[in-house]
Amino acid sequence: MTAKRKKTVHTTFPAISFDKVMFFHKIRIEKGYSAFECSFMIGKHNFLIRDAENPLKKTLIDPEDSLVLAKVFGLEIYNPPCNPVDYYKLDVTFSIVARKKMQWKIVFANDEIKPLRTLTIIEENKEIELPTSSFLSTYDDVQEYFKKLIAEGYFNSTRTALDILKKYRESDEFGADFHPRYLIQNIRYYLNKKSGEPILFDRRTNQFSRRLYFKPFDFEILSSGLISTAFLSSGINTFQKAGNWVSSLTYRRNHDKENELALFKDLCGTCSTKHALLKRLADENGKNELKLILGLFKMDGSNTPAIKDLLKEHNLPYIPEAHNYSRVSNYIMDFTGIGINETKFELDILKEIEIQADQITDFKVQYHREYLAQWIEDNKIPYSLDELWAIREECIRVIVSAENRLYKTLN
Amino acid sequence: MKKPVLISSIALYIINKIKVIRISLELTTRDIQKILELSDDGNILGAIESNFNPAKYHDEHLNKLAKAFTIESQEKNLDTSYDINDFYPPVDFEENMVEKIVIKIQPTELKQTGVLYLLLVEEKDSFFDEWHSTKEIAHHCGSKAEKNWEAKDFTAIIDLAVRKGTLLRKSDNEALFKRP
Repeated sequence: MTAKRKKTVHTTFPAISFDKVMFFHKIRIEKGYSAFECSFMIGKHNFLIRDAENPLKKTLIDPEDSLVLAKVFGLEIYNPPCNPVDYYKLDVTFSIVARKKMQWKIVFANDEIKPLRTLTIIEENKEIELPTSSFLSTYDDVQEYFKKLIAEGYFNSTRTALDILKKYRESDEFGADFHPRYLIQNIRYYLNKKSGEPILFDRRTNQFSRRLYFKPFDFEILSSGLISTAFLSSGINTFQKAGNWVSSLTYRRNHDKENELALFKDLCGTCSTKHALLKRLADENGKNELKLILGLFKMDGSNTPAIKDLLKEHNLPYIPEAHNYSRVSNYIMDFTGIGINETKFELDILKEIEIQADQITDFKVQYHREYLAQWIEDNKIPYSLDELWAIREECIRVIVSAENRLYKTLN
Repeated sequence: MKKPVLISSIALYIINKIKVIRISLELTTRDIQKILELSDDGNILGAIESNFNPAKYHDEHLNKLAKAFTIESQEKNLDTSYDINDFYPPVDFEENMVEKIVIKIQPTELKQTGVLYLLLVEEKDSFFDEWHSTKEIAHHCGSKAEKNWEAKDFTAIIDLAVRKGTLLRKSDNEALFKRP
């Protein structure tokens, strides 16, 4: 193989981290997993392993990702042995070889490493299929099982690539030695808008930034109920479209929260009126799996920057605030339309209960006040319930005014 | 009101595992600081073992700790050699976000050396504010660890603690000990 345009770079790398990359590299080649297939199973980005194997990049395989790879490869021991050296001094000569692939020739230049060690790595094609002795099955058989899972509602909940692989491996048909090659190809097929059947959605990640796959909750509006008729009259005929419309409405309190059609009248709403409307729409259409949730969360300067100074002024690290949102299976859907990130929000939840659409007024306030009263007592907060409620109202005013300023700027 | 931060279950497992080994080998947070070659004023270990700080160990730390724990173990004639794998959870361990609650080590989980160190240094047990004989120390540690330990189980351990300066001997003629 003739190399062109050689260049040598001297670099250092934490020895144990480098050993770990090479440890997994050796195993993946032995077991026939491409860098892309490994990255796909980790679920962060498609070139994570390729980048980790590039000695000129600082990408590491962290403890959490190590465990994912151990599960994929079925390893009991998933770390290299201790290294007496803390840092490797690496002389990396990189060049372009056949088919425009990058090649790195690495020389370990530490004085204490004798004899001189060298290593050559060639960049891998994303779509390469390495030979494997694991059970691959066939694309069609893997797809049949995939269709079965979709039909059974498996993808009504969010799943990581590793969850799906585990499901296959637990089945008698595929078994513990199943290689995920055709599974990955099928997931991509069910995501692809151009050449596949785009049933799945992957624009969400879990709390570890791993991509989640699920079939988005949706239905055609067929009921002749009050809410369904109002949506149909506005030219909105699916739940997803209804959600998008609700999300796009200004965040502002309604004149009459009890009015079920308040959003259509005021063309604005809050988390409670917006999600209650969608709950009523789902109920009218027999989709009771959509739940309306009353969640109490830690409202602080990180998740709500607008109130940072106000909380500091009152010497409060956070205030338990009530928020309404929708929940289907194991994930949250927030249609408030103020840019709430559902994954991050979930980390701040203190408590949540399911409520009905007619409980967004008195019940919500009463429940919230009772929670605050208990919180004041448990945490020896130096405010009475009414004083704390007043601070909370002040916070809401600040948020609304910040939202309105942003809305005016954007329009 | 202050709640523990959230951290990955794997990072927490590693932190707790290191803490158990650290205490069983009688290593202080300052000793760890030195092993990790971190400045004395930085107190990263304080942050790692704090429930309110998201700091965690990286593989680089774990490599240094495994090597240092092996040397320490040999010096104490325990002859355990440590590897990074010893700090990691088993492969069937679940990945979750959990509250960072660093474990409080119980004397029942430790041997004689570890119990004496835990009570004397980590927990600053007031028992060691007064002079005690080897037998009294053995009984006190045994009662905490729910074991029937005798003076002979502690003779060498106390000698070592005196040499390290964690225990003070009253005089050459009086075998009574207390915290310096």
